[in-house]
Amino acid sequence: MEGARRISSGTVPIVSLLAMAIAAGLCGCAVIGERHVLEEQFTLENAGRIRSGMTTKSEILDWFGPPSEISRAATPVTASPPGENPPESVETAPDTAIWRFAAARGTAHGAVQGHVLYGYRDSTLAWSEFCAYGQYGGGCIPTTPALEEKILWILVDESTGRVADHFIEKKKREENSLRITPWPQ
Amino acid sequence: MLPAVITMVAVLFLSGCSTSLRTGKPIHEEQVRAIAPGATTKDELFERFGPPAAIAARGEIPAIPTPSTSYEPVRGSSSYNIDANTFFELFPAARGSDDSDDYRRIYYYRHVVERRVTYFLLLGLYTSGGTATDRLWILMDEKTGTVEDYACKKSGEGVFFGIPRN
Repeated sequence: MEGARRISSGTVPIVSLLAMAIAAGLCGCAVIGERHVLEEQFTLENAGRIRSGMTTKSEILDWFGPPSEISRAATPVTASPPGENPPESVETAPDTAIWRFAAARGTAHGAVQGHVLYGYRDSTLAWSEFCAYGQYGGGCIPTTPALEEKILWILVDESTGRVADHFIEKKKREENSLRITPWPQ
Repeated sequence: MLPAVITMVAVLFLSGCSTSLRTGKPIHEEQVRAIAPGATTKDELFERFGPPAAIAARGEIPAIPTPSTSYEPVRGSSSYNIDANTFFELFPAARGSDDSDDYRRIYYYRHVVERRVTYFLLLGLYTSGGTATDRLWILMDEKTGTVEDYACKKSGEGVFFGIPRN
């Protein structure tokens, strides 16, 4: 046919996407997603520089600044024999981390007295909403905001001033009580 | 004609806008480096940096106002607590000292910028944000009213001190 132009194969997906977008706009639908870094005291790259037995406490403070949590075990903390749970009094995050370090060092050498525990945080908040508006109104259905936390725990031997051990704890929880305003007020 | 239209629409949909919220006064490195340990007084400090976000003695847990934010704080209140012992870890002079630390205080300054960028995508919006915090800790000798030492950490950088560490 004279004047007819061939549609290239690359144009079809683009046109399809455009058509979907226009259709979504006409039916008043949209997906809103948001991800926000709340606090970043460390990066995985920086944490990867830590070497047990070599990195000093001064280097830790230079790289990361002061920790958000600190704990010095006042009494010797030793790992429980296998099969036993830690005492119920262990509730705080630093206490849990100290127990984990003590357990990792074995029951024979589990004492962490003379050590100081530093904790650094990296937390991110993420959620999304599906919104639809039509002739008779509409609204948004939000997902529950999820808080992802990473805590870098560092155990420092105060007698040598060097890092004895370290690990990154990852936690994720839903923040049901969180209220979010979409735009700054 | 069609490629031009598609390009225009793509630019429209993939463009974004950004907002930012700030808390506290900016902390400029040259102002910080002008602090002279043993000489700069409390009045001079207030003149340059304004009132601190917190003043704390060892063992205290001060409440610090939550930065301005688009989100209700995760901690569920307008302030959050911080263990002042973490601040004292920065200063060897005050760390593990045999002398009583009653006369020492940490003056804590921070400047927080919350940035959000919203992208208009084909089927909705996506917002990515982050919080950058610059922080300054001043070790104050309350007996003499002068700065004993300081530490400053700009977002994404290491700490620098008033008295260089070996």
